[in-house]
Amino acid sequence: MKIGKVIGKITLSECIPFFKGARWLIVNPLNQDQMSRFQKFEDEVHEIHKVQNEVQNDHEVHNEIHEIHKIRKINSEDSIIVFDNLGGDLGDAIGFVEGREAASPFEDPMPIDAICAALIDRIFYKPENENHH
Amino acid sequence: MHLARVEGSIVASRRHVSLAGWRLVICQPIDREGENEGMPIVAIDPHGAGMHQKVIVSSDGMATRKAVGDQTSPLRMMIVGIVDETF
Repeated sequence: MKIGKVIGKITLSECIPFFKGARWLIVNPLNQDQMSRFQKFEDEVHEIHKVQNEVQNDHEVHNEIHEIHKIRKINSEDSIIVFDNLGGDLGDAIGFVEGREAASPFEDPMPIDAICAALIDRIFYKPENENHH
Repeated sequence: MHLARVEGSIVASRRHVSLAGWRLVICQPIDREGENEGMPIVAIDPHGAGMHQKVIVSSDGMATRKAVGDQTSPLRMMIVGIVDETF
């Protein structure tokens, strides 16, 4: 699977019957550069908000972070729409699987080619050499 | 199958059930000289590869489903071997 960051969500009004009630995430796949910075960014944003706004309530911090993450696409890779039944939220890192295997969890044949397989808590990443862009 | 280098791991508590207990390893596909080729992927690791070791990653969903023992698993990428040397 690949790692990606959730930058948005989608709701459908007109859709095929298989997709009724389904949850969709707009995902920005992470490159080498962003992987090492991702966890650091998450921790920093939390700390900054707690200090600046003197907010004790985690729920309010979470809502403000939503505002930042909603418009922040962090690289120029193509966005992917991913089916989700784990409950991924804006700004989360998720592991998603692309291809025919994305339809494996369903009994009926579903026209899905990307599914969220894991909500990532922590990324440990230490590249040996940097990508040459 | 692709030649890759292990560059990290991930921890995920909320995930598909077929991933339970599996080590999830970030692999960077490389060419023969060790130069990066494409984006990093996450694969399950039954062999316990160490950091920066070269491994072979298979993208065959059927093999991975058999390895995790779950026919409804959406996983595709699996480390099938650790490389001793390349010529």
